Amino acid sequence: MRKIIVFLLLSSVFLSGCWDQRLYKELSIISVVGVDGHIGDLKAFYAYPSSSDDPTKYIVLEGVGKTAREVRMNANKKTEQTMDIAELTTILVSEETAKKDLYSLLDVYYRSAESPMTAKVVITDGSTKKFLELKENLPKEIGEYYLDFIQSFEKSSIYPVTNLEIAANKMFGEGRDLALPYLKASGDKGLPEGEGIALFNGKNYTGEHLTMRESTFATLIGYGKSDIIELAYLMKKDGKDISVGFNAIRFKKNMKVTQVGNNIKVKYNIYMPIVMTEYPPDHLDRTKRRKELEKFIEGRVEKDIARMFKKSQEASSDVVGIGEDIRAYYPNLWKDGKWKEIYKDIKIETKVDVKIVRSGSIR
Amino acid sequence: MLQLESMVEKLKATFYNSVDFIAREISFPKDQYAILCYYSSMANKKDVQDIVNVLKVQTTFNEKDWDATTASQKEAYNLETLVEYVCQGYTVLLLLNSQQMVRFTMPNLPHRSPDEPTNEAILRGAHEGFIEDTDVNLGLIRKRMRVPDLIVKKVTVGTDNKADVYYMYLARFANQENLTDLERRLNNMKDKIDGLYASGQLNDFIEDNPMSPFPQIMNTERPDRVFANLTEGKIVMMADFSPTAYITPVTLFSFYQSPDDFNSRVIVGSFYRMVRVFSFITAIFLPAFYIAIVSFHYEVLPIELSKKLKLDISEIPYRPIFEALIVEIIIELIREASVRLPQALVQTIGIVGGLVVGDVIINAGLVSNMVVIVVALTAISSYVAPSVELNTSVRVLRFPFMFAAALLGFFGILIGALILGVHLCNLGSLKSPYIYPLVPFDPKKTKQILFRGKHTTSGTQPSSFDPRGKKL
Repeated sequence: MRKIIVFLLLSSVFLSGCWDQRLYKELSIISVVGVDGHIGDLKAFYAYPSSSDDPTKYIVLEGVGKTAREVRMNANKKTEQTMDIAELTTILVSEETAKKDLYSLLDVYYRSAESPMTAKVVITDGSTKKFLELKENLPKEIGEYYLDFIQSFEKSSIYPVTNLEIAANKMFGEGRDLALPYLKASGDKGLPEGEGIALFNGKNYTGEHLTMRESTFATLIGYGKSDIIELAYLMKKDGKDISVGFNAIRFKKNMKVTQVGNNIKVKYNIYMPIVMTEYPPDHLDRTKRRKELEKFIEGRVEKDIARMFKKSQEASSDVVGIGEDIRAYYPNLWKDGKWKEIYKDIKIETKVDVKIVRSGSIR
Repeated sequence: MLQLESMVEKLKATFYNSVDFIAREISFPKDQYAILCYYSSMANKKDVQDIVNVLKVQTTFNEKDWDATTASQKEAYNLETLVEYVCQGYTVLLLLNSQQMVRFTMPNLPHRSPDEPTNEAILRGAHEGFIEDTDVNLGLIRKRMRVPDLIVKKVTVGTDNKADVYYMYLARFANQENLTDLERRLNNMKDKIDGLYASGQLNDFIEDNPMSPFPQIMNTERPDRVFANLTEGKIVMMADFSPTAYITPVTLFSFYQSPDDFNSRVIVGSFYRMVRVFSFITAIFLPAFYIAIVSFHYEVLPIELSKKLKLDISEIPYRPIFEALIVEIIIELIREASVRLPQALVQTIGIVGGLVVGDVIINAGLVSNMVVIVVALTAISSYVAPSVELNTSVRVLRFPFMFAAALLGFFGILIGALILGVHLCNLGSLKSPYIYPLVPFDPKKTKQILFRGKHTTSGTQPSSFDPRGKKL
């Protein structure tokens, strides 16, 4: 017995590849993946760090193949080590690719226990290659960069918090459609820039995306406030341009659903106390001035929300999850499998109540 | 006269004519002649002379009790007992005519002053320590414990070179069952050993499970610690001429208490106790955790840390377990070297070992940064335990965990932890549960593992067992 124990202990030292050991030093850790093309003719780009002195340096591997797994296997042939996606932070999917069944591309991630379910899925404007082969030196490792990039948007309530796991839930759930961050390359440096929410219908990208401000309201109504809400509008008054900037402290919505004939009518009452962060004309201590400003903001916000709903209805993408509310609270109005048809035609009204509760440091 | 001289010769021969053995005839009023014998190395000549003078005076007016002083006693002459007495450092006055001898029990054995033990230093509180003299040691305890029911008993062990083992307890607190158990074990030890050479002998005979990595007897050289433990109803053993006191029964957590806790402020004391208990976990599991991560489960690393670590360890030529073992062994070497070396050279070892080896070994690409950090942290945490035995045990314990982690990752650590847990649950100290109050669970006392309560509120101080000595 003692000999066996000694043998086992010694073998743990001298034998490599015990059980399902994966030595960290023998792996290429992929932090960002970009997917282009479509099933049958797929292309993927994998970024992994290359220099021990400078973690911001990385190499992009390219894999070509018919299926997602084949692409990965082909790319793996190009590394000296084994590719590993356990520390993946971001999956970039090009716009065109996402239009045809996003799930079939991601299936390969859901099926292995090593995949990180916290990775972000992002839709890009055009090929993902240019998002990986950036001309500018990044301040940090590329995977970290994209993760922090998306998270900063999530913190300011522009994007809802999503990841691989949530994405799968939304793709299969009926009452709410998937809303993924949409990025575009900007400037001559081609640095990524946030560009609203990509609207999904089931597993497919609709080709429509919201603007930043619409995204903010879609996130606020559909998912609630994150850390901060920052908004800015331009007010035209007596031929002068006045900049109006504010932070919302709370965003409280109240939803009422009524049935009008065959149609459903949804009414949102929104209460939004705000803090002014920019208003050059000042004198917000005057009630009249304040009321006037509140009215202006209410009007603009209502307009933005209406535009957001219009876009989402046209794209038939229930981005704020009205379906979920209806299924939960008005089950008589809910019809299984038919929600998308109903959603297109429902009437949505919004009443916003803005209140300036603080005017900023100067009076 | 002739008889006297031949007697002196005979005595000297009995002691193999040692130069420090003195047998000298002196004139003594009662018997005309007497022989005074002692080891000059173990007796104070002035004290001996004083007693002889007193006796000389006493014999003139007190016929019956002429021998009685605080340190002298007469008895019938017997060569064997005489030899025994002299060997113990007593002085014997031999009266030839009446075949009697008087022993002066005042050996003057060399001993150092009761300084603070260097391996158990504390910041505040009494700075006294036990020394290699039983009377002084008992004095240090008695001085604190001013009650008559502190009972000290003696067992003589050894077949050849006999040694005394003292054990003491507070009669009103100590548990009778524990006491009989201990006595049985001491008696068992009596004729199984030749003599008491090492303190480990006592440990091995008294402990429930000598093969366990965990010490079941607390060793200390601090009288204040002994005092505190006696009031908790524990039994304290001390060997002859040894500065170490052995306390039993103890729990694992009592090894993590220091007199400092009770001398410092409530919050400070509690904080440092928590730090110490936490160190137990890091000292055992940290290297294993590292190995498991880089061999199996690197997904748990935060993304910011992972890239740097990955690139560091990519250039290490061997497996993580080897890497960790190399640094562990280097640290153990430095430790061992600094214990053996004279005080003046320890700093040199610290610089050579710590700075030179530590820095260069990373640059040379033998081990990675992270493993040095991990092992250094582990080494520091293992030294935090205020008890020397426990911190050595904990240092040894982490090796099996490292192997388990190298074999099976977190799963291996889990199996190891399970075995450790079962072992701890089974372990006893004088058959009292070793990890009380966790097993058997006592919620009120569990709090005291981490916090020290106010002294003003009774019952908030941690004691390993019920002070009434109730056996669990």
